[in-house]
Amino acid sequence: MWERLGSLPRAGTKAMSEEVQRGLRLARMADVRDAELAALAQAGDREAFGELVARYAPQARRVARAILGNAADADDAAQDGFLAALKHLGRYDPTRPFGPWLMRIVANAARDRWRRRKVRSAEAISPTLPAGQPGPDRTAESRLFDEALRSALDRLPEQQRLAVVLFDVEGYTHREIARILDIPEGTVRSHVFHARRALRKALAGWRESREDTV
Amino acid sequence: MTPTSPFDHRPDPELGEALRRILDAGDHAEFTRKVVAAAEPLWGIRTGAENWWDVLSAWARPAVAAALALAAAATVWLVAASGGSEPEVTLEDALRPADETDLPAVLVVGPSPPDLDLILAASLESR
Repeated sequence: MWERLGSLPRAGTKAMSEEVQRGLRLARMADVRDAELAALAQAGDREAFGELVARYAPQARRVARAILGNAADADDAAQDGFLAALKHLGRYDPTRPFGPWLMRIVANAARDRWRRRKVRSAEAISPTLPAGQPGPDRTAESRLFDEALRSALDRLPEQQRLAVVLFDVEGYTHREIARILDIPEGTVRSHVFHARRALRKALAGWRESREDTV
Repeated sequence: MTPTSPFDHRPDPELGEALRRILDAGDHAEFTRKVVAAAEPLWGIRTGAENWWDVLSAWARPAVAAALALAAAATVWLVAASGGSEPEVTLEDALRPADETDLPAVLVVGPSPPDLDLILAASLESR
């Protein structure tokens, strides 16, 4: 791993600014595998950790949001997950993929936050996931579709929600999801099937109601 | 969103894309910067605060335990090794009549174990 990083083009000239050198180092980091980045981060390399966060931030935020609903809470939970992963990088088995290991930590962090929020119960939990900021090209129709999907997703039991997101959005296998959620593989298949069926049913109902109103 | 069976092992790209759209928070670069900044105090805990004395003290207890175990093992080994060099006494030697043994008669004849002075005297005589 160290040899691999060392063999990559070096930017050692004095004329080259620190910013450019940093950019080149980050570009080299992009070629490094997750397990190698994890080893570097464990050895104290901040940029390696930053690269891991950049790689998995979208996924971790989505997984946390699938559990918590609220975007701000989800970001806090995803951050908790990344920091917990950094603390326990020594427990990561580099022969296995990094993603499932990290997603398990993020999911646990999100669940912890959800439980704390539930105990506090000071703030009202929104029955549906809050809508994101609509882009200028988003039509009213697609916004309504998204809201219907969001509502249907929110009504699913947590494990079904996570299973369908990890499978259809993040592309994990049933086996990997079983490891993330710590449940049997057959249960994951069942969760994905039931979640998909519920989502399709909800969206079909929404489409029918739209057609009736038009 | 095409209908699937419970045994379908392929992700549904259409459903996946729709779910991704509603779950995506956006501005991942800003989030990454925030997480990296939040991790800053952890590097101190992980590396900076760990000077050589901390490392030594962390290893002190297992090192003492390992040293004690090694000492015990060495003692057992030494005792076994020194015991092995003594001449072996067979059962036949022990059961041999007193007049056939090489030992002085005072040591093997008599109802009670021989006195220490007798043993010393016998050993000196045999030399």
